[in-house]
Amino acid sequence: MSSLRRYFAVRSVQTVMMLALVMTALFVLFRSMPGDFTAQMAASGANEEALQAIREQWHLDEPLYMQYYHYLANLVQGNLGESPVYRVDVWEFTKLRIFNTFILVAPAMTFTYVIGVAIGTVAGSNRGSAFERFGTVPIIGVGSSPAFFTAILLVIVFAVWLNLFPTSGMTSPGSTEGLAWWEPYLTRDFAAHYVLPFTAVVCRYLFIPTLIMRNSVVEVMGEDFTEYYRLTGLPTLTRLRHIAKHASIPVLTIYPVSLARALGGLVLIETVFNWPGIGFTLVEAVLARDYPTVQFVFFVVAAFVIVSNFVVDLVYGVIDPRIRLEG
Amino acid sequence: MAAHTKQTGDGERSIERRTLLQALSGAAAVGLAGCSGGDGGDGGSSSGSDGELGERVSTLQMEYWSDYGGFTTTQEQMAPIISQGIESLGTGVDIVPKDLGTNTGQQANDSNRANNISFTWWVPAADRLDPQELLNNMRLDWAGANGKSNTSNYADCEYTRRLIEQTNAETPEEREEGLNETIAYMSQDCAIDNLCPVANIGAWRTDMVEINGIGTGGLARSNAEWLFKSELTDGEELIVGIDPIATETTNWMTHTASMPEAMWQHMIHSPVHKYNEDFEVVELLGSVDVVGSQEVVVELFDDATFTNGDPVTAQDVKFTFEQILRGGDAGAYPGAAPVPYDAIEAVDEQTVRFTFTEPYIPFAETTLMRWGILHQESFEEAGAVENPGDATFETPIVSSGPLEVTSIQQGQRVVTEPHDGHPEYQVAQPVIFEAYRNEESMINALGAGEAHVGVEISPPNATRVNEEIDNANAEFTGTHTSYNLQYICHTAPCKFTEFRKAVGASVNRDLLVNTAFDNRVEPDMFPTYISENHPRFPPEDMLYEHPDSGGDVEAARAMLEEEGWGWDGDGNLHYPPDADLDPLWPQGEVPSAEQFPCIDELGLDP
Repeated sequence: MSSLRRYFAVRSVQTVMMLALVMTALFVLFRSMPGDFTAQMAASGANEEALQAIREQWHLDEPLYMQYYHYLANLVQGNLGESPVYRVDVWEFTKLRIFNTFILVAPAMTFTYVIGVAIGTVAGSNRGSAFERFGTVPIIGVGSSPAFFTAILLVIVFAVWLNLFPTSGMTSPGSTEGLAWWEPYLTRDFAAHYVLPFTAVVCRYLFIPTLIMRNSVVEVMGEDFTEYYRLTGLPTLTRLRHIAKHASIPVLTIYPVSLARALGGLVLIETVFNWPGIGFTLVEAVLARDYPTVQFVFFVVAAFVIVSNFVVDLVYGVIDPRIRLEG
Repeated sequence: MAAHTKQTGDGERSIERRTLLQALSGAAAVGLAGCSGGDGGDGGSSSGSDGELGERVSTLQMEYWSDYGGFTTTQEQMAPIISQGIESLGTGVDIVPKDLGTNTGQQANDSNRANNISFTWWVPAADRLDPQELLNNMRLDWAGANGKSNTSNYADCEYTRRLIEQTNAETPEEREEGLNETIAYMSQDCAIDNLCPVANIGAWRTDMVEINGIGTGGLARSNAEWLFKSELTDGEELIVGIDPIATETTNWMTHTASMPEAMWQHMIHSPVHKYNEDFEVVELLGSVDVVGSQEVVVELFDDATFTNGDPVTAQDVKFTFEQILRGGDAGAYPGAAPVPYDAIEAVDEQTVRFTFTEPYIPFAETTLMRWGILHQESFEEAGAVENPGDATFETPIVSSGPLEVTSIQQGQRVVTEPHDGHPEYQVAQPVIFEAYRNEESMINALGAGEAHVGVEISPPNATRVNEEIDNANAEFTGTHTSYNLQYICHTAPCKFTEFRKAVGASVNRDLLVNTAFDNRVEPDMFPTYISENHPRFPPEDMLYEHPDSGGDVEAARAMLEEEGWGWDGDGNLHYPPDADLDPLWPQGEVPSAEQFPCIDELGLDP
């Protein structure tokens, strides 16, 4: 078996095991919490017969390992359970919200990393310059401010004072009547609503790739081979491209993690911009003890990190052959 | 402290803020030094009726709801003022934020003995204009670890007996009298303590919409009248900000929250009759005749129709209340309270007769006013009969109210059109209920003209609307429910009536309403479950009244001293030497028939 195949096989097995581990941990964790949602229903006045029927329906009266068995069996069949709060299928309830968050986070974070890598490369390759010393200060300043502060500032300046964009929401009331679920995302109205939250995400996370890339470039610039590039007379841009490729591994590592964190952690930005994403829903679900929803969303976020890391590991192999040989 | 309240030229009560704050800080300093009021004023000697002291009262825990948006903001403004009053009695207070679910769940299951007071408020829902549901919360058989929500764990035989008697009264007059006596009993026992009314604060764009129908009910979700009677002066669709939870499902009766209920039950569907903005009963779909204590007859109007043109029939009314029973039994409709039905009969096309196995006068103004009439065929098609919890309704949703739902985007908005055939209301324009995840977004949208009306606004944001947004106005209305202190009555020290009264007396209500509501509401001085604005508020002479709206620490300490409580040299409050500090029942259990004989006498099942 070639080293690439072996590397791929080992990482695949590790990924599957990790997913299973996370799934099990989440299941045990939530089942270990005191009470279940029938306690809330009882508090709401449901009678004992009804509660017993629900316990039987959801196997809550069986041992934990049997509940886990049923959970896995249902999961394999694509049945994620039902939100006890909204009484709707968890997948139906969360899918559009996850998509709404993803469509905000993925482009914004990708843009953030592209810009951050460029700024970090320029800063790192010009050590001691004014740009290297002071250029990152505003980026760090904005990034270390609370997310809601940046978001509110954007709303006040660009929506309330200048009236350039809508204050909140994903679409205007009445603008999506009769459209298919995906059509609103292609409208000019959506684009107008998208600008400020997108900008808020970029502002919030830009410091991460910028600083990592700058430090990484500084490190790579100290390697002998970069001196070799210089001596061979490579044009500056070409030389920077080579350096950036070598320096980008730490950034690549952190990218999926940042993306996953942003997926589950955009609560404040979603709240300020009234964006109908999964972050706000997750908070509401935790407060309402909506464990099926919470469990599923946590799993989605965890799975995203694990699978992304798997993909990144494969990309590493392409960028730096030493990794797959050692792996 | 009463001296700090004065009458202004226009007759309104106002407060000299600086004087009050000075007085408060002085009182606090004195209290902390252990010499405020009573005989403890010598700066260190112990006090009490006979000089002996019982166990020291440990630091109290006061929880408030931490997850309720603008209301939480208001509670956080009020909590330090309350704790300052209590601390002046010589005991510390920990203010603990706790989410609603945990707070109520722990009380319902008697699983948090650390909590002594829940600082809460009650949603001024329309159906609470009859206080039956609120009063039920204090039933003896709902106390203890049984999952039922006696949120104060108040176990009292006499109260429960009066509550049941008024429920089973033979005539409306008899019930009225019983209701007053029930509330009066609880008031004299100070089982729950009112502070001030919940203020309904709504805001609107004065240049875009002409608001009518605010009345006494306020610009609030609990009063649907303004929605039906207001007219746009600019624009085509009235955009109203709401909580996202109301947009999450079409099967609204499965919700525990009151926001969806207000929108769906009274705006999209219509009950047979309901209160208007001035708390007068308005017949919407038919007339209601309370024939006797065990019979109510509904006669539907000829022109009562659903949004699809189908007439509202007696069978639909019968189906509605049977469906609520089905949903309640299945645990799917949390709001389905038990009703002692004997039968629900569709006598003819337009006549429905409800009969009960026992006298049940509250039916006409609780159950019948709460639930909108459902379209049987739509419910059957949606599968709601077989499985009430899992039904989904396709838009346009057939409904009996003044608005018809034409589309829903989950978590974003509910779009409605006026229902032309409604017998009582003709809404002037389409209404879009737009979900806002926080108040700031709603206020910003209001400022930008993206929304026309917002409800449930916190006082600070109301001030912001009035001062910073041109062409917008925020209106305060004191509602029929209150901010209150729910004393946890089965454990010390709140199991002692004198302690509850002393706490109530120590709180500076003037400062509360000044700080939280800029004096736009009046303090509530009577410990009842409902505010003085409630149409069923009993005559004041029946009720216990706190001595002073400015807080009277001296009187509070005197109440304690009279019952044998005392203070040590450091000013710490101690129980009477012979006080029984054991809880009324062991944790995790329920009140026993040995201790509460009425459990057997009244046939209760704790």
